[in-house]
Amino acid sequence: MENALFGTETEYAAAGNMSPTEVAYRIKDGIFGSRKYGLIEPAPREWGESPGNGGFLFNGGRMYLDSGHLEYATPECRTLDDLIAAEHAGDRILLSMIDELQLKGEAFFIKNNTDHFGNTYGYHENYCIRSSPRTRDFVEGILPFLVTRQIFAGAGMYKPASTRPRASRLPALPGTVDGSPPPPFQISQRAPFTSVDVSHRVRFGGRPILNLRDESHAGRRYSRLHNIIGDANRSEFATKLKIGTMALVAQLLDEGWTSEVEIELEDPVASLKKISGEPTGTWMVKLANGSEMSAIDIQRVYLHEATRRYLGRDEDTIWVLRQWASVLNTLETDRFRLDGYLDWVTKFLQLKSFAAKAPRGWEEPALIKLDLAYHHIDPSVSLFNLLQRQGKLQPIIAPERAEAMMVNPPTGSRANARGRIVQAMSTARADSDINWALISRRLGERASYGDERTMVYEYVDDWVDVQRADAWYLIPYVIDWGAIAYKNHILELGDPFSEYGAEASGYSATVPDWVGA
Amino acid sequence: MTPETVIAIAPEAPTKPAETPTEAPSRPSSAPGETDTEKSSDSDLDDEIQRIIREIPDPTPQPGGE
Repeated sequence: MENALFGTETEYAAAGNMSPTEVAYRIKDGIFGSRKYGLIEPAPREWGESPGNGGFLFNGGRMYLDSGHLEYATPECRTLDDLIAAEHAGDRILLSMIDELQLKGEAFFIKNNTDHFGNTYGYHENYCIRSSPRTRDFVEGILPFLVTRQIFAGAGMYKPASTRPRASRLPALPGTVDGSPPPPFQISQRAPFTSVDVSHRVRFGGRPILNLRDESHAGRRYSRLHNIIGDANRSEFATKLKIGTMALVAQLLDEGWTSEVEIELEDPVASLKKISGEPTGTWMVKLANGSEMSAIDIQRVYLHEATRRYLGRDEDTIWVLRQWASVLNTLETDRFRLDGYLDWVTKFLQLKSFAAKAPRGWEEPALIKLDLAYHHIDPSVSLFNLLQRQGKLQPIIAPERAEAMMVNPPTGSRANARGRIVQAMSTARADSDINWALISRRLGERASYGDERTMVYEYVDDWVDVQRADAWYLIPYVIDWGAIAYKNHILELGDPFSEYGAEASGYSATVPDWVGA
Repeated sequence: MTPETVIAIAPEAPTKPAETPTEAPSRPSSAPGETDTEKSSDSDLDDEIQRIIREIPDPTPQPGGE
């Protein structure tokens, strides 16, 4: 997509014969111990990551432990199909490692956002933009879009009365158009856990719709729009539409567009929850001016402007504008015709069919397992994959493309250089230069202050920290989104839109000479 | 602002009854008169769903994320 660059982060749930955290640890150790997919990092990193907590991958992405979850950040992608392939590559790496460690049937990963015990975990989206997403115009401009996007991007969630309270203080479920009792189902998995509109934090103090964390990973020329309200989708169609529409809206706001139509919401969080609780409802929300508007019509305001500005611009944009318009119309006329396209619709109909045959109807306990089954990434036990095999859902990209992305970076961004260099460093056994005992002794969980010969930071922000501390003996290499350094050999990747082709080739060719030197 | 007004200001976007998205898969229509094959297919699906429910682990509390 022209002028766009995006990536996602998925925190996988885990289950099986071990605790979720043990599954995460064993698979992470397997990934980096095997040297098949990436290279372990010896540096302590921001947000409390200790040395060896994770590493960058040959595809330019990153796999690491976060809050007891195994988390996968895709490489920076320039096309929507690359992003889909990159997300699938993460799933496939985990499945491959389960096989390699002979944990099939003992360890499972689930790509969703709730465990049905009141806990949530994230699926974050990142978009590279030029302006600041922390201005009032940007925030006010994007909130109505994010609140209403769930009508096509929601992953759907079964939510019986017994599991409602802890997740959040949900409002009473609204009635339906025909007056029948509402089904215990949410359109969005994340909406019930969201309690503030914007915040600089992601968890404590309330989960926000939009996170204002100021980390561009690309110098001062760019900003990172960090959206944490999205659900982890299984449907490729929903993923493509979710990321594609968001990328276009980010560009609109980046260009300074403000809506002439009044769409500011009276209460974004309340609207988010109201829509989510209405799978069969009207999706009407209150605006700041006292009137009401439907979620579909709010989306159409963004669609109209994006169409006016970007129609015919490039292949991804053409696809997004066409499908966006079509999906909104179908949601308006017969939303359940989108069975097989949108996750929440597909799952809702499957659960509804199951409930109709179950002794306890919508209160049937097995419905929670069926909900989870939709999100299992192992095709042999995944409801999503079963429906795909039956022809009810079909992929957008060829499986070979996802397979290739397990060990190859996408083109068109600096992820290409990063992936190639990480692979070269792994081939050269750069990790054999790490003295883990020394790192443990000198750094431990936190750096010690006051000793100039050790790192005096609790994390390594970039290679400059190591250079200043003269600590290459301790941390032989630093890999980050914006730079790679092997001892004193530094390659900065400041422009995320550049492949750094020649630089990456030269660096990769020379790495073997540096290792152990 | 009514929905009709918003639709009217979006002339480039289709406003007629929607076509099903064309680049995503088409699925069998749910015609009133099901064939034996379709019934068999539904039965197979039910069996597979029951198998999956048996084989996946019970719901497991997860660490809170982000």
